[in-house]
Amino acid sequence: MAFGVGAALLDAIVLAVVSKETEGTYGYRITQDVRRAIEISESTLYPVLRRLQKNEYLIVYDVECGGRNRRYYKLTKAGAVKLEEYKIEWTGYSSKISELLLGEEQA
Amino acid sequence: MNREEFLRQLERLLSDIPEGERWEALEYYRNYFEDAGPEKEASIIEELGSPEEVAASIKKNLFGEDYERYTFVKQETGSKTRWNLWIILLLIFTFPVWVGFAAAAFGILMAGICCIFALAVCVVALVGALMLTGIIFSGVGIAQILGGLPAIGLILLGIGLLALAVSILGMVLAVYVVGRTLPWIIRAIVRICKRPFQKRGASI
Repeated sequence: MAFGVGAALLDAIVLAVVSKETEGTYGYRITQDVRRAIEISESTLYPVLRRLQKNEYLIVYDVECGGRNRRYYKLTKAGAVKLEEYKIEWTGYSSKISELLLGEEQA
Repeated sequence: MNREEFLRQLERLLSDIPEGERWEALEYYRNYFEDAGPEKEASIIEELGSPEEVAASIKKNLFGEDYERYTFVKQETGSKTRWNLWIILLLIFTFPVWVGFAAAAFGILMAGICCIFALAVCVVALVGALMLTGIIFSGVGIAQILGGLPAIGLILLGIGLLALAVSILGMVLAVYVVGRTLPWIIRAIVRICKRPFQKRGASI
């Protein structure tokens, strides 16, 4: 992919992916979902998830699964608010870029 | 490398971060391998790269973007000062060996300078002698032409003028050579003297 993904966009994508699962989701699955949209290496996501967890946008909880604990991530209220902010920012940003790049007038 | 080795190496590389952070990271990657299943183990290890890279990405997130640069700079200056110390120690302990070479080199340099100086004195003396000879011969020649034997006077005048011409040519040549080489020699000496200071300036 020719376009780089900055830290803010990566945060937004991860928040969006986690928000799709109301029951929460886990590291391996988040990585697979994010990789459907952008090329990231498997080591990229742990620091992002840890950062979002520290900023209290995500909470972590363990669920027993097949004799072991699986670590789940879920959006917090603050995380949901942050995701809405990112969505608004993205709409403005992406329409301006599309307008410049494709010459389209986005209503 | 298998999964257990990978996690062991990662644990060792993360030994300098808080225990809670280390545990979180190792738990995440242990979970990751288990969720992916054993058949994907090799491809995940390959894609994760070395445990060093994974550890670096975790630390970068903990300590900020400057973490990598900070440790890199710290290591580099540390090894450089250590090297300088070794060189100084080596110079002190090998003093009896290199002091002889240094004295010999200094002697050769001095001898060379003396040779050049002697050569210059010779040239000046030669030119001076030729000039003096020329003036005397010319003077005697003119005196002979006016009140003696004009033929001998002309010969003496001729020799005198020839000697004067050669002395003037020699002077011009000497001035030209000195004018060309002296600035070069001075520049070379200045460069040699400056070198140690420039090097020290660059290493800081």
